Amino acid sequence: MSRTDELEEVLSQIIDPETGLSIVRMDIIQDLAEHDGKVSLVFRPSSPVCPMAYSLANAVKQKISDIEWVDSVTINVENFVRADHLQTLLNG
Amino acid sequence: MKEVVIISGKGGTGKTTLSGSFACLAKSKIMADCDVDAADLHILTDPKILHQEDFYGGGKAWIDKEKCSECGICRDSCRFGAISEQLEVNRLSCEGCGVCFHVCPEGAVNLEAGICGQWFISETRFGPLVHARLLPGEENSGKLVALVRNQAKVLARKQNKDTILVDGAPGVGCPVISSVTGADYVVIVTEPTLSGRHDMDRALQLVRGFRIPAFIVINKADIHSDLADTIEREAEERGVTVLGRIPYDPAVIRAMVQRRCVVEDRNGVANESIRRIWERLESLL
Repeated sequence: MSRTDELEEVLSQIIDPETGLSIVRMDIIQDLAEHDGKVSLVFRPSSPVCPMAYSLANAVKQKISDIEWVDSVTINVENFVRADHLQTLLNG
Repeated sequence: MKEVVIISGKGGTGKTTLSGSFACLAKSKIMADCDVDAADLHILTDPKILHQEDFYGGGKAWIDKEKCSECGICRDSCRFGAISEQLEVNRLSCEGCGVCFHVCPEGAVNLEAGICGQWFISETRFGPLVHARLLPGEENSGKLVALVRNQAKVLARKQNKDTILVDGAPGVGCPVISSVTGADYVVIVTEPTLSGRHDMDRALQLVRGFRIPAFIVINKADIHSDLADTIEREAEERGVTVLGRIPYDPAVIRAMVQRRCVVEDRNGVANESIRRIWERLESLL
C-alpha cells in the first residue's frame, strides 16, 4: 500500500455525523499529497457555514499525525467563513 | 460551479415545474431533488438508477426486556407517547430524543440507528440526478438533504458541470434550511394568493438570514394581477429581483399529466415565460 493510499484509508474512517458518509466520499479532502513524511491537503467543508468544520478538521489533523511515518501535516482550509482562523489553529 | 436552489415557502406554487424546466434548458448541470419528504422531480425526468444506498437516521429506542424492571419511568418521561402501557416502543412515534435512554435506572433502553430512507444517483434524459426517498414517518430529512446536496456537488466536480439545480422543499423548516445553507443563489417561486405572498415573505427572510442572493418568480400571475403587482412592488422595495411572471396556462397541467416538463412542448405562454426567466437567471449567475 502506498503512503497516499494509507492516508486515504485513515481519513476514510472519519465519518461526517450529518450525512453518515466518510469525509473522503464527501470530497472534503482535496489535493492530498505526501513527500518525505510531510503531508499536505486542502480541507474543504461541504458548506461555508459547516457547523462541524472545526471538529472534522481537528480529527483530520489528529488521524494523520498519529501515523508513524508522518513528520508534519499542513492543512489549507477553503470554502469556509472562518477559514483563516481554523487554518491558524490547525497549523499554528 | 454555481448552486441554484429553488424553494417556495408555500407548497404547490410550482417549484418542481420550474426546476424540471430549468433542468431541460440548462446545458451543463447536475440536478438534486432535496424535497426528500415528497420527492417528485424523478417523475418528470424518467431516471435510470445507477447507484443506490440506504440512509441511516437518528436512533430509535428499544427496550431490553431482560434488563427492564417495568418501573415505567421511560413511559412517563416520553414526550411523544411512544411507549405503551406494556412498555413497547412505537417506532413511528419515537423521535429518537433519547430521554428514555437517560432516565432508565436499569440501563434497559437502547438507541439503535435504523434505515430512514434511500438515496440514489440516476441518469435522466436531462442529465444526472441525485435524489432520495425518506420512508413514511421517518425524521432527519435535513440530514438526508445535506447528503443529497453534497453528492450532487461531488458529482458536479467530477463531471466538470457548471450548475447544480436544487429542487428544494416547501416551508421554512429544517429541510429548507438544509437546502439553502451555503448555496450561491435561491429562486423563490410564489403565486398571487395571500398564503403564497405570506410564505414567500417567510422564505425570503430565511434566505436573507443566510445572506444568499435571492430572486423571485411569480407563477400563475394572472389569477390575481393586483396581488402579483403588490408582490413585485414589495420585492423591488426590498431590493429583490423579480425574474418574471408565468401566466396560468392549462398546457402546464397537460405537461404534468404526461410526465413532461413545460418547456418540452414549445407552445403556450407558460413555456415562453419560463424560457425568458431562465435566460434572465442565467445572465445573472
